[in-house]
Amino acid sequence: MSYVPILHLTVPAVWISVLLAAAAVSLLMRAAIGHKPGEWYWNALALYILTWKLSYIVFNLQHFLDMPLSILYFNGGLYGHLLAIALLIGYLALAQRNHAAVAEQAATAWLLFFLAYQSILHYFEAEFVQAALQTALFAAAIVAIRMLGKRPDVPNGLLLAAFFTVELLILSVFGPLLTWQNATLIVVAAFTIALYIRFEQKGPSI
Amino acid sequence: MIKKAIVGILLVAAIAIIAINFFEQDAQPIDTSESTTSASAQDESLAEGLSQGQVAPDFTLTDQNGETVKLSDYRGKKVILNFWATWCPPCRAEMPHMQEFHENNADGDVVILAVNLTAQDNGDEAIRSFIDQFSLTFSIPMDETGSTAQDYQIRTVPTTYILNTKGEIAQKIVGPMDEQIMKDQTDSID
Repeated sequence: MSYVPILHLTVPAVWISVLLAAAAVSLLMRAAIGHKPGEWYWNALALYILTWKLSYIVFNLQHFLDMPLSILYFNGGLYGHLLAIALLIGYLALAQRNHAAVAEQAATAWLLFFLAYQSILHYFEAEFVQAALQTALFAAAIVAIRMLGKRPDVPNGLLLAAFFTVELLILSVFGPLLTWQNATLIVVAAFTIALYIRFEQKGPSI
Repeated sequence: MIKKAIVGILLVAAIAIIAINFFEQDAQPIDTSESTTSASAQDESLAEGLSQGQVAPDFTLTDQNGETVKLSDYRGKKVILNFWATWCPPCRAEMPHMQEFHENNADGDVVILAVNLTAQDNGDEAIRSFIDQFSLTFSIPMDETGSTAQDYQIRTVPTTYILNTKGEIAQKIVGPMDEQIMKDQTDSID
Protein backbone atom coordinates (compact mmCIF):
# COMPACT_ATOMS: atom_id res chain seq x y z
CA MET A 1 0.00 0.00 0.00
CA SER A 2 1.39 3.39 -0.96
CA TYR A 3 0.87 6.67 0.82
CA VAL A 4 0.75 10.21 -0.44
CA PRO A 5 2.13 12.96 1.80
CA ILE A 6 -0.38 15.80 2.23
CA LEU A 7 0.75 18.53 4.64
CA HIS A 8 1.67 16.67 7.84
CA LEU A 9 -0.29 13.52 7.06
CA THR A 10 0.23 10.57 4.77
CA VAL A 11 -2.98 9.53 3.08
CA PRO A 12 -3.31 6.09 1.44
CA ALA A 13 -2.87 6.45 -2.32
CA VAL A 14 -5.98 4.29 -2.77
CA TRP A 15 -8.22 7.01 -1.28
CA ILE A 16 -6.75 9.75 -3.46
CA SER A 17 -6.99 7.51 -6.51
CA VAL A 18 -10.68 6.76 -5.86
CA LEU A 19 -11.56 10.45 -5.54
CA LEU A 20 -9.53 11.54 -8.57
CA ALA A 21 -10.92 8.66 -10.67
CA ALA A 22 -14.48 9.57 -9.67
CA ALA A 23 -13.96 13.17 -10.74
CA ALA A 24 -12.17 12.17 -13.97
CA VAL A 25 -14.96 9.79 -14.98
CA SER A 26 -17.62 12.41 -14.27
CA LEU A 27 -15.85 14.65 -16.79
CA LEU A 28 -14.83 12.01 -19.34
CA MET A 29 -18.20 10.26 -19.57
CA ARG A 30 -19.17 13.22 -21.75
CA ALA A 31 -16.37 12.27 -24.15
CA ALA A 32 -17.38 8.60 -24.11
CA ILE A 33 -21.19 8.67 -24.26
CA GLY A 34 -21.88 12.31 -25.08
CA HIS A 35 -23.18 13.43 -21.69
CA LYS A 36 -22.22 13.40 -18.02
CA PRO A 37 -23.44 10.54 -15.80
CA GLY A 38 -26.69 11.16 -13.98
CA GLU A 39 -27.19 11.87 -10.31
CA TRP A 40 -27.14 8.12 -9.69
CA TYR A 41 -23.35 8.14 -10.20
CA TRP A 42 -22.64 10.41 -7.25
CA ASN A 43 -25.30 8.64 -5.16
CA ALA A 44 -23.61 5.32 -5.83
CA LEU A 45 -20.19 6.72 -5.00
CA ALA A 46 -21.44 8.35 -1.79
CA LEU A 47 -23.21 5.14 -0.78
CA TYR A 48 -20.03 3.14 -1.25
CA ILE A 49 -17.78 5.57 0.63
CA LEU A 50 -20.19 6.12 3.52
CA THR A 51 -20.87 2.40 3.96
CA TRP A 52 -17.20 1.52 3.77
CA LYS A 53 -16.31 4.26 6.27
CA LEU A 54 -19.17 3.84 8.76
CA SER A 55 -19.01 0.05 8.74
CA TYR A 56 -16.01 0.50 11.02
CA ILE A 57 -18.62 0.88 13.75
CA VAL A 58 -20.17 -2.48 12.88
CA PHE A 59 -16.94 -4.43 12.59
CA ASN A 60 -15.04 -2.68 15.41
CA LEU A 61 -17.89 -1.87 17.78
CA GLN A 62 -15.87 -2.14 20.99
CA HIS A 63 -13.06 0.07 19.69
CA PHE A 64 -15.64 2.60 18.52
CA LEU A 65 -17.43 2.62 21.90
CA ASP A 66 -14.10 3.00 23.72
CA MET A 67 -12.94 5.75 21.38
CA PRO A 68 -15.74 7.20 19.19
CA LEU A 69 -13.31 9.58 17.48
CA SER A 70 -11.63 6.56 15.91
CA ILE A 71 -14.30 6.73 13.19
CA LEU A 72 -12.40 9.77 11.88
CA TYR A 73 -9.30 7.74 11.24
CA PHE A 74 -10.43 4.25 10.24
CA ASN A 75 -12.81 2.42 7.91
CA GLY A 76 -14.54 -0.95 7.72
CA GLY A 77 -11.64 -2.62 5.90
CA LEU A 78 -12.29 -5.64 3.71
CA TYR A 79 -15.62 -6.51 5.31
CA GLY A 80 -16.70 -2.90 4.98
CA HIS A 81 -15.74 -2.99 1.31
CA LEU A 82 -17.76 -6.17 0.70
CA LEU A 83 -20.77 -4.73 2.50
CA ALA A 84 -20.47 -1.50 0.50
CA ILE A 85 -20.27 -3.40 -2.81
CA ALA A 86 -23.36 -5.46 -1.86
CA LEU A 87 -25.29 -2.27 -1.05
CA LEU A 88 -24.03 -0.60 -4.22
CA ILE A 89 -25.35 -3.47 -6.34
CA GLY A 90 -28.65 -3.32 -4.44
CA TYR A 91 -28.86 0.43 -5.07
CA LEU A 92 -28.19 0.02 -8.81
CA ALA A 93 -30.79 -2.75 -9.03
CA LEU A 94 -33.42 -0.56 -7.40
CA ALA A 95 -32.46 2.69 -9.12
CA GLN A 96 -32.53 1.25 -12.65
CA ARG A 97 -36.25 0.47 -12.24
CA ASN A 98 -37.09 4.17 -12.25
CA HIS A 99 -34.12 5.65 -14.06
CA ALA A 100 -33.13 4.07 -17.35
CA ALA A 101 -29.87 6.06 -17.31
CA VAL A 102 -28.58 3.77 -14.56
CA ALA A 103 -28.92 0.64 -16.69
CA GLU A 104 -27.60 2.48 -19.74
CA GLN A 105 -24.56 4.10 -18.12
CA ALA A 106 -23.52 1.95 -15.15
CA ALA A 107 -21.29 -0.55 -17.00
CA THR A 108 -19.48 2.20 -18.92
CA ALA A 109 -19.05 4.29 -15.78
CA TRP A 110 -17.71 1.30 -13.83
CA LEU A 111 -15.27 0.41 -16.62
CA LEU A 112 -13.93 3.95 -16.92
CA PHE A 113 -13.84 4.45 -13.16
CA PHE A 114 -11.85 1.26 -12.59
CA LEU A 115 -9.39 2.01 -15.41
CA ALA A 116 -8.89 5.58 -14.21
CA TYR A 117 -8.43 4.36 -10.63
CA GLN A 118 -5.81 1.81 -11.68
CA SER A 119 -3.97 4.35 -13.84
CA ILE A 120 -3.76 6.93 -11.05
CA LEU A 121 -2.91 4.40 -8.36
CA HIS A 122 0.00 2.94 -10.31
CA TYR A 123 1.39 6.37 -11.10
CA PHE A 124 1.37 7.04 -7.33
CA GLU A 125 3.09 3.72 -6.75
CA ALA A 126 5.70 4.56 -9.41
CA GLU A 127 4.80 1.42 -11.37
CA PHE A 128 4.99 3.26 -14.65
CA VAL A 129 4.72 0.35 -17.08
CA GLN A 130 1.45 -0.83 -15.56
CA ALA A 131 0.24 2.76 -15.23
CA ALA A 132 0.96 3.40 -18.91
CA LEU A 133 -0.88 0.22 -19.97
CA GLN A 134 -3.86 1.16 -17.79
CA THR A 135 -3.91 4.67 -19.24
CA ALA A 136 -3.70 3.31 -22.79
CA LEU A 137 -6.63 0.97 -22.11
CA PHE A 138 -8.54 3.84 -20.49
CA ALA A 139 -8.04 6.02 -23.60
CA ALA A 140 -8.87 3.11 -25.92
CA ALA A 141 -12.09 2.45 -23.99
CA ILE A 142 -13.22 6.08 -24.30
CA VAL A 143 -12.45 6.17 -28.03
CA ALA A 144 -14.06 2.76 -28.69
CA ILE A 145 -17.24 3.56 -26.76
CA ARG A 146 -17.45 6.95 -28.44
CA MET A 147 -16.94 5.60 -31.97
CA LEU A 148 -18.73 2.28 -31.72
CA GLY A 149 -21.38 2.91 -29.08
CA LYS A 150 -24.00 4.25 -31.45
CA ARG A 151 -23.50 1.74 -34.25
CA PRO A 152 -26.35 -0.76 -34.47
CA ASP A 153 -24.05 -3.59 -35.55
CA VAL A 154 -21.89 -3.27 -32.42
CA PRO A 155 -22.94 -5.31 -29.39
CA ASN A 156 -22.04 -2.85 -26.64
CA GLY A 157 -22.40 -5.42 -23.87
CA LEU A 158 -19.79 -7.57 -25.59
CA LEU A 159 -17.55 -4.54 -26.22
CA LEU A 160 -17.60 -3.68 -22.50
CA ALA A 161 -16.99 -7.32 -21.56
CA ALA A 162 -13.93 -7.35 -23.86
CA PHE A 163 -12.49 -4.27 -22.16
CA PHE A 164 -13.09 -5.74 -18.70
CA THR A 165 -11.36 -8.95 -19.80
CA VAL A 166 -8.34 -7.07 -21.16
CA GLU A 167 -8.20 -5.15 -17.87
CA LEU A 168 -8.24 -8.44 -15.98
CA LEU A 169 -5.41 -9.61 -18.22
CA ILE A 170 -3.29 -6.57 -17.34
CA LEU A 171 -4.00 -7.05 -13.64
CA SER A 172 -3.09 -10.72 -13.76
CA VAL A 173 0.17 -10.00 -15.61
CA PHE A 174 1.34 -7.76 -12.75
CA GLY A 175 -0.18 -9.59 -9.80
CA PRO A 176 -2.19 -12.59 -8.64
CA LEU A 177 -5.51 -13.25 -10.35
CA LEU A 178 -7.38 -14.30 -7.23
CA THR A 179 -7.75 -11.11 -5.22
CA TRP A 180 -10.70 -9.30 -3.66
CA GLN A 181 -10.05 -6.41 -6.02
CA ASN A 182 -10.36 -8.61 -9.11
CA ALA A 183 -13.42 -10.31 -7.64
CA THR A 184 -14.99 -6.88 -7.16
CA LEU A 185 -14.14 -5.91 -10.74
CA ILE A 186 -15.74 -9.09 -12.12
CA VAL A 187 -18.89 -9.04 -9.97
CA VAL A 188 -19.73 -5.38 -10.57
CA ALA A 189 -18.84 -5.70 -14.28
CA ALA A 190 -21.06 -8.77 -14.72
CA PHE A 191 -23.95 -7.10 -12.89
CA THR A 192 -23.76 -3.77 -14.74
CA ILE A 193 -23.32 -5.45 -18.15
CA ALA A 194 -26.39 -7.59 -17.40
CA LEU A 195 -28.28 -4.38 -16.60
CA TYR A 196 -27.13 -2.88 -19.90
CA ILE A 197 -28.10 -5.90 -21.98
CA ARG A 198 -31.55 -5.91 -20.37
CA PHE A 199 -31.79 -2.18 -21.11
CA GLU A 200 -30.93 -2.81 -24.77
CA GLN A 201 -33.46 -5.61 -25.06
CA LYS A 202 -36.33 -3.82 -23.34
CA GLY A 203 -35.51 -0.24 -24.19
CA PRO A 204 -35.61 2.86 -21.99
CA SER A 205 -39.08 1.99 -20.69
CA ILE A 206 -37.84 -0.52 -18.09
CA MET B 1 -17.22 -8.15 -38.77
CA ILE B 2 -16.84 -5.83 -35.80
CA LYS B 3 -18.64 -8.34 -33.62
CA LYS B 4 -16.15 -11.04 -34.63
CA ALA B 5 -13.25 -8.71 -33.82
CA ILE B 6 -14.64 -7.96 -30.35
CA VAL B 7 -15.28 -11.66 -29.66
CA GLY B 8 -11.74 -12.38 -30.87
CA ILE B 9 -10.21 -9.81 -28.49
CA LEU B 10 -12.27 -11.17 -25.62
CA LEU B 11 -11.26 -14.77 -26.30
CA VAL B 12 -7.57 -13.97 -26.78
CA ALA B 13 -7.54 -12.00 -23.50
CA ALA B 14 -9.34 -14.81 -21.67
CA ILE B 15 -6.92 -17.44 -23.02
CA ALA B 16 -3.96 -15.23 -22.09
CA ILE B 17 -5.29 -14.89 -18.53
CA ILE B 18 -5.57 -18.67 -18.25
CA ALA B 19 -2.10 -19.16 -19.73
CA ILE B 20 -0.47 -16.61 -17.44
CA ASN B 21 -2.11 -17.80 -14.25
CA PHE B 22 -2.24 -21.54 -14.66
CA PHE B 23 0.73 -22.48 -16.83
CA GLU B 24 3.15 -19.96 -15.34
CA GLN B 25 2.90 -21.74 -11.99
CA ASP B 26 4.76 -24.73 -13.45
CA ALA B 27 7.77 -22.65 -14.37
CA GLN B 28 10.45 -22.61 -11.71
CA PRO B 29 11.49 -19.07 -10.92
CA ILE B 30 15.22 -18.50 -11.00
CA ASP B 31 16.41 -16.04 -8.41
CA THR B 32 19.10 -13.96 -10.03
CA SER B 33 18.81 -11.08 -7.62
CA GLU B 34 22.10 -11.86 -5.86
CA SER B 35 24.13 -12.03 -9.03
CA THR B 36 22.57 -8.94 -10.57
CA THR B 37 22.68 -6.71 -7.52
CA SER B 38 25.58 -4.38 -7.89
CA ALA B 39 28.01 -3.78 -5.08
CA SER B 40 27.20 -0.10 -5.04
CA ALA B 41 23.48 -0.81 -4.65
CA GLN B 42 24.24 -3.07 -1.70
CA ASP B 43 26.40 -0.41 -0.11
CA GLU B 44 23.63 2.11 -0.54
CA SER B 45 21.04 -0.17 1.06
CA LEU B 46 23.31 -0.70 4.05
CA ALA B 47 23.61 3.04 4.70
CA GLU B 48 21.81 4.32 7.76
CA GLY B 49 19.06 6.84 7.10
CA LEU B 50 15.35 7.52 6.98
CA SER B 51 14.65 6.77 3.31
CA GLN B 52 13.09 3.57 2.07
CA GLY B 53 15.71 0.83 1.80
CA GLN B 54 18.08 2.45 4.26
CA VAL B 55 18.87 0.89 7.62
CA ALA B 56 16.87 2.54 10.40
CA PRO B 57 19.04 4.51 12.86
CA ASP B 58 19.87 2.40 15.88
CA PHE B 59 18.91 3.45 19.41
CA THR B 60 19.02 2.11 22.92
CA LEU B 61 16.19 3.05 25.29
CA THR B 62 14.55 1.68 28.41
CA ASP B 63 10.98 0.39 28.13
CA GLN B 64 8.02 0.57 30.55
CA ASN B 65 9.26 -2.54 32.37
CA GLY B 66 12.76 -1.18 32.89
CA GLU B 67 14.25 -3.43 30.22
CA THR B 68 16.82 -2.19 27.74
CA VAL B 69 15.62 -2.05 24.15
CA LYS B 70 18.21 -1.84 21.38
CA LEU B 71 16.73 -1.65 17.90
CA SER B 72 19.53 -3.58 16.19
CA ASP B 73 18.88 -6.53 18.52
CA TYR B 74 15.64 -7.11 16.57
CA ARG B 75 17.37 -7.88 13.25
CA GLY B 76 15.78 -11.02 11.86
CA LYS B 77 12.30 -9.84 12.85
CA LYS B 78 10.00 -7.34 11.18
CA VAL B 79 9.53 -4.28 13.36
CA ILE B 80 6.63 -1.87 13.65
CA LEU B 81 8.46 1.16 15.05
CA ASN B 82 5.80 3.53 16.26
CA PHE B 83 6.20 6.99 17.84
CA TRP B 84 3.38 8.28 20.03
CA ALA B 85 2.37 10.51 22.96
CA THR B 86 -0.53 10.43 25.41
CA TRP B 87 -1.88 13.83 24.29
CA CYS B 88 -2.35 12.69 20.70
CA PRO B 89 -5.96 11.62 19.85
CA PRO B 90 -5.00 9.53 16.77
CA CYS B 91 -2.46 7.67 18.95
CA ARG B 92 -5.28 6.92 21.38
CA ALA B 93 -7.40 5.58 18.50
CA GLU B 94 -4.53 3.50 17.17
CA MET B 95 -3.45 1.81 20.40
CA PRO B 96 -6.28 -0.76 20.73
CA HIS B 97 -5.57 -1.89 17.15
CA MET B 98 -1.88 -2.16 17.91
CA GLN B 99 -2.56 -4.21 21.04
CA GLU B 100 -4.92 -6.46 19.07
CA PHE B 101 -2.29 -6.94 16.37
CA HIS B 102 0.29 -7.75 19.05
CA GLU B 103 -1.98 -10.33 20.69
CA ASN B 104 -2.83 -11.94 17.35
CA ASN B 105 0.86 -12.18 16.44
CA ALA B 106 2.27 -13.29 19.77
CA ASP B 107 4.26 -16.12 18.16
CA GLY B 108 4.85 -14.34 14.88
CA ASP B 109 7.90 -12.67 13.40
CA VAL B 110 6.65 -9.12 13.92
CA VAL B 111 7.68 -6.99 16.90
CA ILE B 112 6.03 -3.75 17.97
CA LEU B 113 8.27 -1.09 19.51
CA ALA B 114 6.06 1.88 20.40
CA VAL B 115 8.46 4.64 21.38
CA ASN B 116 6.84 7.13 23.74
CA LEU B 117 7.92 10.75 23.21
CA THR B 118 8.54 11.04 26.93
CA ALA B 119 10.43 14.32 26.68
CA GLN B 120 7.34 15.95 25.12
CA ASP B 121 4.69 14.04 27.08
CA ASN B 122 2.67 14.88 30.18
CA GLY B 123 4.74 13.08 32.77
CA ASP B 124 5.27 9.56 34.04
CA GLU B 125 1.86 9.26 35.70
CA ALA B 126 -0.03 10.13 32.51
CA ILE B 127 2.02 7.65 30.51
CA ARG B 128 1.49 4.84 33.08
CA SER B 129 -2.22 5.61 33.19
CA PHE B 130 -2.41 5.47 29.37
CA ILE B 131 -0.61 2.12 29.26
CA ASP B 132 -2.91 0.70 31.97
CA GLN B 133 -6.05 2.07 30.33
CA PHE B 134 -5.36 0.23 27.08
CA SER B 135 -3.69 -2.79 28.79
CA LEU B 136 -0.70 -2.44 26.48
CA THR B 137 1.66 -5.39 26.67
CA PHE B 138 4.05 -4.68 23.79
CA SER B 139 7.36 -2.93 24.41
CA ILE B 140 7.17 0.83 24.97
CA PRO B 141 10.66 2.36 24.95
CA MET B 142 10.77 5.77 26.66
CA ASP B 143 12.51 8.53 24.71
CA GLU B 144 13.31 10.64 27.78
CA THR B 145 15.83 12.93 26.13
CA GLY B 146 14.03 13.32 22.81
CA SER B 147 17.14 12.25 20.90
CA THR B 148 15.48 9.26 19.21
CA ALA B 149 12.55 11.39 18.03
CA GLN B 150 15.11 13.84 16.69
CA ASP B 151 17.05 11.09 14.89
CA TYR B 152 13.83 9.92 13.25
CA GLN B 153 12.69 13.50 12.50
CA ILE B 154 9.33 12.99 14.20
CA ARG B 155 7.21 16.08 13.47
CA THR B 156 3.76 14.54 13.79
CA VAL B 157 2.46 11.66 15.91
CA PRO B 158 1.68 8.91 15.42
CA THR B 159 4.45 8.20 12.96
CA THR B 160 5.36 4.62 12.20
CA TYR B 161 8.31 3.09 10.40
CA ILE B 162 7.87 -0.46 9.09
CA LEU B 163 11.24 -2.26 9.16
CA ASN B 164 12.07 -5.50 7.37
CA THR B 165 14.12 -8.34 8.88
CA LYS B 166 17.34 -6.61 7.80
CA GLY B 167 16.40 -3.51 9.76
CA GLU B 168 15.76 -1.54 6.58
CA ILE B 169 12.91 0.96 6.30
CA ALA B 170 10.17 -0.44 4.11
CA GLN B 171 7.54 2.21 4.74
CA LYS B 172 6.89 5.37 6.73
CA ILE B 173 3.32 6.05 7.74
CA VAL B 174 2.23 9.31 9.32
CA GLY B 175 -1.18 8.92 10.91
CA PRO B 176 -2.97 6.11 12.72
CA MET B 177 -3.02 2.52 11.49
CA ASP B 178 -5.60 -0.17 12.17
CA GLU B 179 -4.84 -3.86 12.55
CA GLN B 180 -5.48 -4.58 8.87
CA ILE B 181 -2.96 -1.95 7.75
CA MET B 182 -0.35 -3.38 10.14
CA LYS B 183 -1.01 -6.85 8.76
CA ASP B 184 -0.88 -5.70 5.12
CA GLN B 185 2.31 -3.74 5.70
CA THR B 186 4.17 -6.52 7.49
CA ASP B 187 2.92 -9.28 5.19
CA SER B 188 4.23 -7.43 2.14
CA ILE B 189 7.87 -7.32 3.30
CA ASP B 190 10.58 -9.92 3.95
